[in-house]
Amino acid sequence: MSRMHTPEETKAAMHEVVAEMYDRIVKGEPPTMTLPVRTKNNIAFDKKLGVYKYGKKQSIRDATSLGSAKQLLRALHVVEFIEEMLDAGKSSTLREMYYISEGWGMGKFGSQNDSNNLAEDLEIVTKCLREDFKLRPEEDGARMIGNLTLRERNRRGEWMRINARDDVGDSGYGVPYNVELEKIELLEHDIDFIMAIETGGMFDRLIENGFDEDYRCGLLHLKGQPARSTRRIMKRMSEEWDLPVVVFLDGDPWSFRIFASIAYGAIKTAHISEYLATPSATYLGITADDIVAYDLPSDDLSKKDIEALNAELSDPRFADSWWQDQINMMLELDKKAEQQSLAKYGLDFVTETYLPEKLAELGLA
Amino acid sequence: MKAKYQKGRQSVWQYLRMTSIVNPHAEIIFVDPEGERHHWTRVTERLPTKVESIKPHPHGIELGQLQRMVSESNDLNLNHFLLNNFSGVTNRARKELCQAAELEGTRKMRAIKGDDIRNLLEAFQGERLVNGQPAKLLKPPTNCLSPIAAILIKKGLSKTLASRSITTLTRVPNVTQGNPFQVEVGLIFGGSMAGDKPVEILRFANRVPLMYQQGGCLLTKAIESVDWRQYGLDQAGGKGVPKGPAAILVHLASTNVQFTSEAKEALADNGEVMEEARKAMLEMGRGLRKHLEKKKKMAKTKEKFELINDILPAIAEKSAQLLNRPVPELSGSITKIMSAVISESTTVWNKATKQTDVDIVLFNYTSRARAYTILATWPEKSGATMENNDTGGRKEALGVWAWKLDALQPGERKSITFSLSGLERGDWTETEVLFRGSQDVIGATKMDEKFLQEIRRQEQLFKESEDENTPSEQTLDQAPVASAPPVVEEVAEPAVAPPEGQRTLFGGDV
Repeated sequence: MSRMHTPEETKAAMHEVVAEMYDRIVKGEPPTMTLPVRTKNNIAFDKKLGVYKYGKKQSIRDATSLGSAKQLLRALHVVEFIEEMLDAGKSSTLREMYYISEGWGMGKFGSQNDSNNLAEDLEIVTKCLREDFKLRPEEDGARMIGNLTLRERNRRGEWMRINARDDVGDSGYGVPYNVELEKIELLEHDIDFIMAIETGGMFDRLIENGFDEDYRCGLLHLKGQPARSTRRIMKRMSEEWDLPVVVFLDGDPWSFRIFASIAYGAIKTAHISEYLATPSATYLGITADDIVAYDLPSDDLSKKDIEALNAELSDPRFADSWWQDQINMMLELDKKAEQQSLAKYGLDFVTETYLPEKLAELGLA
Repeated sequence: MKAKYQKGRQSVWQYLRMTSIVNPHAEIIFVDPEGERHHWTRVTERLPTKVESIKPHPHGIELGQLQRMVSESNDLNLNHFLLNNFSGVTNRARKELCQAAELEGTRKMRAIKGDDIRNLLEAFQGERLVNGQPAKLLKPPTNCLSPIAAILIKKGLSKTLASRSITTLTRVPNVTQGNPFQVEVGLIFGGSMAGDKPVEILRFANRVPLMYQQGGCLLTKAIESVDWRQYGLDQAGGKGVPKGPAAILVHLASTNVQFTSEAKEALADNGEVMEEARKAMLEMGRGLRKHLEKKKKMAKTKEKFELINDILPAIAEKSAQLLNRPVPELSGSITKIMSAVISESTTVWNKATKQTDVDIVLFNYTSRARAYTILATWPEKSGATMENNDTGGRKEALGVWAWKLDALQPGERKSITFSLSGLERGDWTETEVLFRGSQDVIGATKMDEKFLQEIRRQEQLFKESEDENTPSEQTLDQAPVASAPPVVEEVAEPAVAPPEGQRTLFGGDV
């Protein structure tokens, strides 16, 4: 499965964006760029793909205010920059592009965030991917440990066979930013499921306790909100190896969001949800009832936490009754808990009691 | 005597700095004990107006003073005493005072004793009546006061404090307890001043800096009584000294400044002075708000110009280059983006001609022809003259000139220029542009007729206060004559109630 575009296709798609601006000026109108609205109000469940995608709402960015006009000019500079990279066979990071924009005069970016957003805008409008644009993310891929084997093409173009239990050190196998077929092939495994873990502390605890071997699973460290490549490799392992994915996070509103982006698709990347989301993923914990059932040490919800929970109540991705119950229960408890709070009952409690009990509910232990 | 040289808010340096603000005609050089030289330069060649001395007004006399005046008098009789030694006492007032005090006007001065003096004082103060009313006295003349004048406060402030905007105003003189007084205020905003600290308060009484007892001073209380939040400054709960990058100057000129103590550190409470100072603050606050609103609008206009002059051409060029097509024509897009008529004005000092050059430009960025009358303020009251006004036009009111323009075609620009002579550098730095017409003009204010009325009323007040200073003392020379001048009949009561309006910015140089 390849979703990449040829340089010619990519250029043609970008030229459509440029032509929209050009044609408007010729018509005597302010130049514009049309793109989908990127909020929770414009994502809808795609039955065919099983994930959330952008809806039909479009927003038109037109050059009637200084801010939007500058954004259009920047888009043109980015298009030019990508064309140059395509022609020269080079690639760069988003951060490098941000610094290169210093030379773009009035089209220079105000912040790194600006350039990231614009790259995403272009992806969405052109239906190309940033890999097509030769733009590499800065973000860190995940770490993996478990009895699974893949091959990765290294810098010299040679394929390397790697077992993520036997061929790696304690920090595990580092997932690269490109996990597509031309870079990574999934070979074989001897595990029953994959467990994605939010914090490094918990990931290391499970490794130290030998959880991956005892429970025949692959462990994946998400590093907070997971990078695209992390979500993409989870998706591929789940589909190509037909493995269940369970997600073990903190018990707070932000973890709920992380789960939604893994299972249903993130709002920011809804244009490529079908490549990134794993619809079969299950939320293992920490749930709102766990806080009560296990009497976990907890913190009061902050104002921001409460706002986030309320926003989730009206987010279409959390519309089912299980999530509505969890969110409402957390609001009622007015408490949140970290994964590490399980240590209240000792270092082995998580691997000997909590996880086995939770996995048993799912029929995985 | 041993003393330590100090710096800061209560120091010799601060005293001199404040002195230089209210004396812009003075050149002050101060070498401090550490050998550092401080120099406050002269910023105007105009000297303060000469003041006339006046005689005391009966409303402001105290018993001891009256006793002394009576015993030291060389006047022929009480009639002469009253007419020769007081201001505001006309022939008719003299008669009424004598009646109220139940004293014969022909009574010799040495025959006036303790109880008589007390009776006379009661008549002065309106405690003894004639026909059920206090004796009718004229207001004291006000040419005895030495206001700094708004325009010079502006110069004084701008030389010692770096800032963007200054509002100053001088109120029309008023009277309290027989003493003429006048309040002047100035507000300087922006620049390098700290935005999170209380504003600096600069208090003066008769051009003398007041440096101590700030909290207990009437002038401070007047500032604190205003809700500055509505004018763009921070103020906790709408009370107390406001916070913001600003300094407020208050000057009280009076023949009798009432202090809280012998030390002359702070002004004592006085209802009328308080009212005047408060009104001055409100007026000045409105000026500040207007300035801030204008600044916001100008920033917006500037953005639009950057958009059409820089960004849009760059978009056109880059998109044409990427598509390998010719660079498109922009005028249609520009009209759609701006869809407004825009005015820009500059007011700059021309070193070579020693004139202030004003340039008003009007752009029509709409798809239809537009017709306007453009109006501009100019410092006519300060004695400026308008030159090189090639567009002609006509006088609309005192200090307001109007030009009726032919229809401005879509995409067309028109410019009005003129120069002002008879001013010094820094006298006039901002020209307000107004318009009459149906479509809004960005960068100009729609002329509302209330504004014009206000200008006309100030014009009237300005004239009146000039007339007023043809002093009533003239009646003294006429000695006791039968008929009083007609002016007297018209003045019903010594006006303690402050007049409605006041002179702003350019009313100071009386």
